[in-house]
Amino acid sequence: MNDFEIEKNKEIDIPFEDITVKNEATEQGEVKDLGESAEQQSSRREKRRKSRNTKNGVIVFLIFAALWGGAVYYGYNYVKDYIDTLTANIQQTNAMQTSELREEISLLGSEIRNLRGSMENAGLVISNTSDVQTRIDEKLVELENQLKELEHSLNILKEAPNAP
Amino acid sequence: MLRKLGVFILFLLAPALIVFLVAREAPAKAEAMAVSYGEVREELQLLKRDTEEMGSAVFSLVYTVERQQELFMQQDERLTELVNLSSEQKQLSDDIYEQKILHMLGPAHYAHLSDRTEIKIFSLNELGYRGYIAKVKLFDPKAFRVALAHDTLGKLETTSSAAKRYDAVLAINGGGFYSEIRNGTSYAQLIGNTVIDGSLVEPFNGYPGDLFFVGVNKKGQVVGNTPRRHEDIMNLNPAHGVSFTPILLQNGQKMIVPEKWKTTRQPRTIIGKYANDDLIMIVVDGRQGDWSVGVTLERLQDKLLELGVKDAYNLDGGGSSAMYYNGKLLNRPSDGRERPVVNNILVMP
Repeated sequence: MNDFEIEKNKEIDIPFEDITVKNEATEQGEVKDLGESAEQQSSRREKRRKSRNTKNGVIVFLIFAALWGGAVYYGYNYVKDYIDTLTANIQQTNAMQTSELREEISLLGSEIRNLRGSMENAGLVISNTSDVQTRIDEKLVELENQLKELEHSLNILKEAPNAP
Repeated sequence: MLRKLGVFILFLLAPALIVFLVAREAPAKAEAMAVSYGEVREELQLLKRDTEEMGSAVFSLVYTVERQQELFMQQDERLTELVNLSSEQKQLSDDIYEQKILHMLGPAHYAHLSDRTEIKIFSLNELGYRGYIAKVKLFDPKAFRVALAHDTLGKLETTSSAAKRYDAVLAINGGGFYSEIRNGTSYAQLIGNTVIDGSLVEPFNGYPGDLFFVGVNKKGQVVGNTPRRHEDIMNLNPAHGVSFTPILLQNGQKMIVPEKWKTTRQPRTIIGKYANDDLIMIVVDGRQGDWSVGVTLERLQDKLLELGVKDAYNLDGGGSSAMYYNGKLLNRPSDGRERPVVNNILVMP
């Protein structure tokens, strides 16, 4: 507020009681003590009215600014809460889905490990089967030789003397 | 005034409008912020399904392979049973054959058993002749050998002397020979071919007659033929062997015996084999009316067949026939004493 406005306010800042008293005194014949003309009085009233209007404007402006500030504050908080809630929900949803995915991947990993174990087991069994097959082949050769020997022995037996 | 009110309301509602607009766009932006897991989940589900299918396939494979292995194990066990059964049957067959042979030979008088040989001695008592039979199993082919008299060509030595010199448990006289004078001294000349330690002791004798060669190969089996060439002998892979005539049996069949040998009863020495490759050695005494007249080769062929002999060869007989066992001479030589011979067949303990 500059010096002009302060001076102006000083002029305007006349107590209402004084004005009323002065008006009453004028009506009772004490006007001549003041020595003012009607024009001067009208100008003074105009000034007072202007002053009153300015004062009301300031008050309205302040109220308006307060309301606006309140609306902004409320809106800010509302939007902030709203966005925070949305973000939190999204984070929570993401986290839950990530957790579910992690669990599913973990299960899948477990299944793959089981599968690997089964395949290793299958490999071992196949290896053992191969060993057994080799052994069977050897046994077949052995049996063939044994049967040849038996055949030879039976042929020998055919040549045995006819003893009881 | 209305204009001021409108401006007032506009200004008043401006933040609310902004809030409204921001709030209106926020859900869409928030939706955009949300991570889309849909596709990942779908891929994951596909992967999971593929993994499960692969798992099923692997389990099925394992099951099949395990069944296969079980089947192989059963086959293995069955084959083992068959091998064992076959082995038992062979053993049974061998035992029956052995029993039949032993039954024909009668009770054994002497027996010797070691890691290298099994020897059983039987007496032979037939109408008009007597003798001894030795049945020999060779577990070690090196237990059989032929020894030249004093290990020298041209020399003579009795069967007992040769056996004692080599510490043999069993011995019979060997191949034929004749004596001649060489450089003023008597020289015992081998008939046919003699093999010792796998080699002929003299150059191959290609005598065109029916001289056979008989011996034991490096597997301990009795082998023999009528050689016309050096290879005929070497093809038999002989370790030790001697020569004489004639062959009596081959593959269980009687061979033609020359007339001059056929009907004369003489002391005899025979070597042969059974079908199971057991050796048989026979010595028959003769020329002793009160003890044994001797036997013809024809009759001996019958006897050998009766005993179940498969191959048989007639070695040097007459006064040369001798069988030594475990330190003593078993038979009675027709000369009244042992005749020195050019070579002997020995069986080591």
